[in-house]
Amino acid sequence: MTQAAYFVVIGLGVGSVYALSGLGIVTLFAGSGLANFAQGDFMVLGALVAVNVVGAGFGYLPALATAVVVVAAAGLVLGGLFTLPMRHRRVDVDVVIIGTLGVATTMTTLSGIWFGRQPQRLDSPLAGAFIPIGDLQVPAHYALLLAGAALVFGAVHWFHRHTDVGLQLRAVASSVPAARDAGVRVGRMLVVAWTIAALVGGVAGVLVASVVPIAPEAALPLGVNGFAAAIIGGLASPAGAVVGGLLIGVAEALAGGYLNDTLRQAVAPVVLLAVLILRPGGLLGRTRTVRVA
Amino acid sequence: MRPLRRTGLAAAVLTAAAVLAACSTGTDASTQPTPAAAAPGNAITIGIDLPLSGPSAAPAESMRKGFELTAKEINDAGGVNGTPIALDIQDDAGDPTTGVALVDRFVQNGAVAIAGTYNSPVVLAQSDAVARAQIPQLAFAISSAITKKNNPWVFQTGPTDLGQIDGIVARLKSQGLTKPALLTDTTAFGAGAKPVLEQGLAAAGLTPVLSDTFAVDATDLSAVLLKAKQSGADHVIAWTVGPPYATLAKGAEQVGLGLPIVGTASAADPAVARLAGPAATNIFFQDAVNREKPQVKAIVEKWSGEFGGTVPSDALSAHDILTVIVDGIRAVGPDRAKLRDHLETYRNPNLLSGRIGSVWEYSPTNHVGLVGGNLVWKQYDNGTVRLADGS
Repeated sequence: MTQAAYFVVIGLGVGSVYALSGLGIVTLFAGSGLANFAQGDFMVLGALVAVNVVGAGFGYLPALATAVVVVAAAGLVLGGLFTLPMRHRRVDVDVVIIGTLGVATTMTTLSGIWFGRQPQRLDSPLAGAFIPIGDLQVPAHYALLLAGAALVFGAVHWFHRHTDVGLQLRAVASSVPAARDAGVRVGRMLVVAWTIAALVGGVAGVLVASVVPIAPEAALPLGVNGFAAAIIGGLASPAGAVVGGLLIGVAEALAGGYLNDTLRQAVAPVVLLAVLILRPGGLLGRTRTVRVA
Repeated sequence: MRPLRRTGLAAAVLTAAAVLAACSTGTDASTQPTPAAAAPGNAITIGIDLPLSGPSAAPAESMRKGFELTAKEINDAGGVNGTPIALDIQDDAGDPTTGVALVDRFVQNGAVAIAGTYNSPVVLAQSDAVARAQIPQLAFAISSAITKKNNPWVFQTGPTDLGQIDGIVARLKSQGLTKPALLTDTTAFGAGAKPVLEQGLAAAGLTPVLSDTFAVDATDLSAVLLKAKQSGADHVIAWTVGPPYATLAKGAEQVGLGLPIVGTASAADPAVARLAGPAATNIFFQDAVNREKPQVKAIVEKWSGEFGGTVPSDALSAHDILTVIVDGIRAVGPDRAKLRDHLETYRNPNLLSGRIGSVWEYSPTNHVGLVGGNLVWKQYDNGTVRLADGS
C-alpha cells in the first residue's frame, strides 16, 4: 500500500511536468488555433536563463522573474514574426504550424550556442526536503511542481474566462473571420497568444529544471510529453492538459513500478491512442458530431 | 510583389533555411579542411566525427574542445614536421546514416585519418565505408562488436565494454560482492551491452538477481531502484552514458537504496556531480584518466580555465586520440595506408589515459589501445570524485 501511494505521488509529480508543458501548448492553441512545436524550447530557454541568473549569485525568485521576462520577450518577437503572414489568412495555418518546427530546431541550436550543451539543474528552494511515505521519500519539489501546475492553470483559465483579451483570444481561436467581423484585431491577439504561451513556458521551464536535467536537446521530449498531455485532455482545454499530464504521469509511475520501464515508456502512446479512438476531442475537449452521408 | 506576400515568402524561406541549417551536419568548427589531399605547405586535415547534437552532445562537446585545444598546441609548437594540422569537425548527431555520409566527406576533403566517433552503432555502420575508403579511424566507441569485426582500418581507444567488465568483475570479487542487480539503458548503447554484460558476469560465476532496463530521459528512476533494493542484490551495475547516473543517484536517495552503484567509464562525466550533488555518493566507476599522473596534472592546470574548472576525462581522451594520430603522421607522413600500418606498431606509455605505468599499444592482432585493467576506480563522495578504496 505504501509502495502504491509512493508511485502515485511520484506519478503526480512527474505528471505535473507534462501538465506544465501541455498548458503552454493549450494556451497558444486556445488563443490562436496554432499547435506550437517550439513550446519545449520556451521551457528550456526559461530554465537555462534561470540557471545562469542563479549562477550569477541571484536567488530563485529573481531567476524566475528574469526567465519569464526573457521568454515572454521571445514569444512576443516570434508572435510578431508569425502573425504577419497569417493576417488575412495569406498563409495557411498548416504552414505556420510547420514553421514552428523550424523555430524549434533553430531555438535548440541557438540555446546550444549561447548556453552550451552541458545539462544543467536548477537548485529547488525546497532542495534537500522530502515528503516521507513509509520508508520511501518523495522530493518536496514535486509538491511545488503540482502547486505550480495548479497556479498556472488557474491563471490561464481566469485570463481566458474573465478578461476582455481572453474573450477575444477565444473568438480568434474559434473563427478568425467571425472574430474580425466582430471587431477583434486578430493580428494583435495572435501576438498576445504567443506571448502568454511563452510566459507559461518560462514558468514551467524554471519549475521543471529542478527535476529534469536541462540541455537544449531536452526541448524535444518536453514538447512531445506536453503534446501527449494536451491531446489526451483536449487540445483547447487548459484543465484537460492538467488532467492529461497527471493521468500519464501516474499511469507511467505505476507501470514502471509494477511492470517494467519498457512498458512505462509505452504508456503515453497507448493512452493517447485509446483517447483518440474513444474520445477524439480529448477527455475534457468538445467532440463535434458531423453527418458525413 | 505585395508586402504581405513578400512577408509570407520570407517566412517560408526563413523556415526552410532554419530546417536546412538544423539538418546540416556541419558545425561552426574553428578550422576549415583543406580541399585536396594533404601536400607539403598545406595543412594536414584530420576528420573529427562527433555527436555534437542529440543525446551525446554534452560529452561530445567536451571532446571537441579537447581536440581543438590539442590541435592549437600542436600547431603553436610548429605543427607536424613544419606543417600545420587542420581539424574538419563534423556532427553525426549519433545517427549511423549521417556517420556513413561523413566518412565520404572526410575522404573527399583529403583527411588523413578520422578521429571518432563516440557512439558504437555509428562506428559499426561506418565500418564498411571506412574499409572501402581505406582511411584509418580511431574510434572512441567501446562496443566489443567493433573489435570483433576485425576491420584493419578501425582502431579503438579502449578499454572496450569487455575490458570494463573485466575490471568490474575483478572489483566485485575483491569487495566480496556476489549478487548484482543489472540495469541497462534502453538506447543502443545499453541494449548492445546487456548480453555482453550477462555473458561476462556468467563467465565469472555471477548471476544477476535482477536484470532490468531504464530510459535515459526518464524524470524519475526510483521505481527500478526500488526493485533492485527488493531483489536482494548486494550491488547495482548500471550501464548508461553520463547524466542518467545523476537521475539514478537521486532515485537511490529516494528509495534509500544503500547499495553501491557500479557504472561505466562515462559516469566520470562532470554533469553527474553537477546534477546529483551529494546524492551521487556511492556511484563507483572506472575512469580512463588517473588525475595523479604528472602529465595529466600538467594539462589539467593548462586547460582548467577553458572548462571553467574540472577538465572532463572526455577532453583528455580527445588529447590522446589526436596525439596518437599526429605521432603517426609525424613518423610516416600524411599517407593513409602508411599511417594504418604504423598504428599497428604504435606504443606509448606517456599518454594521459590509463593507470600510472599503463601503455597504449596496438599490434596487427590488437586494435584496442588500452586494454582492460588499465582503468582507475573512482567514486563520488559528497558531490566530488575521489579514488575508490583499493583502486
